[in-house]
Amino acid sequence: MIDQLYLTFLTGIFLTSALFYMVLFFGFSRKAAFLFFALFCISYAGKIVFAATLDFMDFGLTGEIENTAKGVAYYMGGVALVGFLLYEFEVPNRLRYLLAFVILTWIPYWLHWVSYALMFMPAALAITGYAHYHKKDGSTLALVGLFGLALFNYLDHEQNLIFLGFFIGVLFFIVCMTLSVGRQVAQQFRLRQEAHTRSERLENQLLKKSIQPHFIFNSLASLQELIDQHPTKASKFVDNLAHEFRMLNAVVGKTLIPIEEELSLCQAHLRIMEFRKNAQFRLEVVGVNGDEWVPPAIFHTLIENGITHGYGSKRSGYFHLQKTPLANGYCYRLFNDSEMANSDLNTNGNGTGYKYLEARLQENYGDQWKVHRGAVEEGWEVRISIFNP
Amino acid sequence: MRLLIVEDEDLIAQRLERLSRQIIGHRLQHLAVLPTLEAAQLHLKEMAVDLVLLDLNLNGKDGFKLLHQYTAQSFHTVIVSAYTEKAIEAYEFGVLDFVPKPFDLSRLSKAFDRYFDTDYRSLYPTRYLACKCRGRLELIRVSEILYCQGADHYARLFLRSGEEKLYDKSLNQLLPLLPPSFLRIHKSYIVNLDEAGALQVRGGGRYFFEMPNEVDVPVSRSGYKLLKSHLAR
Repeated sequence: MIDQLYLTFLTGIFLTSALFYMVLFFGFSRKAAFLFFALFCISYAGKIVFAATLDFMDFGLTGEIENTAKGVAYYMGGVALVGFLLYEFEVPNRLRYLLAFVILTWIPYWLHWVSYALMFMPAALAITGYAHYHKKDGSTLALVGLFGLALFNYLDHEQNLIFLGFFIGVLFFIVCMTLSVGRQVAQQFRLRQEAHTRSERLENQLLKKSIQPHFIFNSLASLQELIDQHPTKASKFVDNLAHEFRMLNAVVGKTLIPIEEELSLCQAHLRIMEFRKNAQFRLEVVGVNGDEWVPPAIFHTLIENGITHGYGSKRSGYFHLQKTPLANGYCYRLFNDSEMANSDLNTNGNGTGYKYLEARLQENYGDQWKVHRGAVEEGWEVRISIFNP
Repeated sequence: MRLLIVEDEDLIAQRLERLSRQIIGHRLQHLAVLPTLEAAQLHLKEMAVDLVLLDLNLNGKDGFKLLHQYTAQSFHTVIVSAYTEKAIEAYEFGVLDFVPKPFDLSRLSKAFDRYFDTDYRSLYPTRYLACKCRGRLELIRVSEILYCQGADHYARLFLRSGEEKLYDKSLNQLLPLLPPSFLRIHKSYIVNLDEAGALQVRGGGRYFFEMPNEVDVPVSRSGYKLLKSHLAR
């Protein structure tokens, strides 16, 4: 009677664990390791059911079929264990190893050449040992779990010291692995959340900055005048506006983009402002190979700032972007021939663009960057240095 | 009229100039279009202007600066801006109208109507008047004013505190900005009805308001009619 109670209890635990891992697989992350572990738990629940005929679960099977079912559950549990460890620790060529393991153990197992423990344990220990050597997350807990499993198994089968020792060993292993997986899930969840918030915030900032209501309203007011006075130019202006918004839309969710995309975004903005300010703006680029990647809209932001603050009465503007190597990195220098003065540094609206720039640099380069800005002879410059790329 | 347009975007400046010419027609005596705050400040120092169409973002600089500096001047201001969230602030400093961008001919016409219409009263009366006092600007709460007396091109403001201030606009220009409690009861007087005392009748059917500062403010015949119709409302 006590036996029955124990066994029912254990079956419940195994099935609950299996359910937990399946929920993880479908709800959190489609990691094959979760499925293998669920299978591992199910097979042990199956083993109990077939090994010790429970009162409430009498399938009415003959002894032979029951034995076969028990064997299948046993074998499945072993394969699931090896599969779980291979996938959890991301061993290279894991699928091949798993297949090789099945092929090598299938016949010896059914012919009872070697015992269960002697087949699965060495493989499990080898994989976990490999993971521990490579300092994989959770490998220590897995080792502890496996030793517990082996120890209880030994005490039960060889020494007959502990009643149901084998299952308690499995339980111990499940607890260890759930602890390890739980920690990983929590950590992953936190990292994912953080990254998500960060990129979401920057994305938002870029959109707010580029599609500000007053940018749109001012553009629309210019467009009205073009429609009234120069209808052909109006259509071109709309094209340019659409072009800039399309490009912004394409880069907004990214953390790095090819410099070519960034430069054409800058060009699109210059074309719009040429219309609005009835001026000529030119951008010259020097020292760029074309294979560089940069955070989205950083030069765009600087050019936008330059035009807003620096070209009150001038009818032409010249922007010069130059990339130069540094001893331990490289530097982008963006110069414009504007009337911007150092006193403009903290006037309204000037700050938001730079905050965006700094946040993007931080996101991509940690603390390995520096921004310098200020008035120079005949203009204004911003230097962005990236160290140890 | 003498008009000044302060706008840093060329196309919009062109639009303002074209539409303004269309609306004002032959009444336009002088027109200047300037793209920077500094140029506008210089212009206002040297030239008399009746109306300024002002953009609030001038090459990243705050157009309000012009407004704060020159609310004491004799011109009226109409803001033309995409920053609609600043409309209330603008009205508080005594602008005649706030035209949001983008705008069309009829909307701009309305702003000019307010300028030309002598009976027009702002929907959002100003809360402060900026007065030049010993060379610097002083903001005066409109609710502090008992009455205003016209004196050529400026107005004398009599305050609850007993002080008297000079304001750089004529009564004609001042009236549209004030709350409805201010009534032009005489060619030379605007009185704040919230502060006025009893209405007195003297010989010959002449009416006076007894003000808290013990001054009698005369009410003209047409002023009396206006008062009656105002109180009947």
